[in-house]
Amino acid sequence: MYKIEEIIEALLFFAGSKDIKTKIVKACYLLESEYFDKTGQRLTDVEYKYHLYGPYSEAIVTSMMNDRNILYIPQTSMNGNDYDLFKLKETSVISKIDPLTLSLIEKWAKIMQQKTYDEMVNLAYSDKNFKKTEKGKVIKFESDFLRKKQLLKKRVKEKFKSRKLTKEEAEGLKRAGNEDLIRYSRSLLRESRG
Amino acid sequence: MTAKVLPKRGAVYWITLNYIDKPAEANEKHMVVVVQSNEMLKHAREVNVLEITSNLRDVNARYNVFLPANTLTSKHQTADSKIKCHVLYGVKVDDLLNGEYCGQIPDDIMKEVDDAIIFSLGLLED
Repeated sequence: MYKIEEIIEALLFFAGSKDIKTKIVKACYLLESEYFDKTGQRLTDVEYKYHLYGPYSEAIVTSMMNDRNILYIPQTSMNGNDYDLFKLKETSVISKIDPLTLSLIEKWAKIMQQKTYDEMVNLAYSDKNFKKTEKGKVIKFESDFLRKKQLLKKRVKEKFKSRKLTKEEAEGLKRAGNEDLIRYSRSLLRESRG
Repeated sequence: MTAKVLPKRGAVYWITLNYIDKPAEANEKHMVVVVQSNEMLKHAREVNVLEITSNLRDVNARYNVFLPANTLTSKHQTADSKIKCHVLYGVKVDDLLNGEYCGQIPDDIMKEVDDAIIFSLGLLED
């Protein structure tokens, strides 16, 4: 499990150093969701809640504000709306992250870079874990990987019932080994006879 | 005869199995089924295979899978056989390609093989 600061720094690193708060939060969430789906494990320990504008985590915003490697730049748009821009100053986390995680981070960083604010929010809305959650509640992640593993486990358990070998099976295994030895000795005999 | 079919999971080849534990059969040909994942097969030079034999002793043991005669298109599988799932052998991809392609194990039998491997290797145990 990684610290959320490390994931954010890596996301900003691949996304061309800066982006707005909402897009970063949504990218972190979508990355977490895909990682859990593929591995059955959480990427970070961050808790996401169902908010009106999609999944949200106060912990992510606090982390970015407190991270010395990230610069907080308050901005005002042409319409007079305020928004928060975060810029990466420097980072050394890339070498610490494993290749699978890094490839997923790079993928979501590129998506974050290419998509507009509305597109990122819509992507988060369409996430299966978000859809299953009630308003205001903590989002629970579900994994296809884990579900398939559990189904397989159940099927195999039902099929074999006992893990212990029967007497016949145990003897069969011994015999299989012996047959190889017998064949080996026969071949040696054949060779010696030329 | 050279196999022209690239190995994929469930493919069967008629090859010389040069494994250390069975020097007696160093020059004998065997049918083997590839059990490596297709993703791994794209890159791997060595792959895991299981041996197929017409010796039906202990065929009902949970580490063996029954393969009815003529399931494969090959002339080498005209008798009922079993797939021995209790020992995995590593062979070179080149050895498979130099052998003879015998056909593909049907999906339902491969599922049986998967289960037998899971049982044999103790996968998914708590």
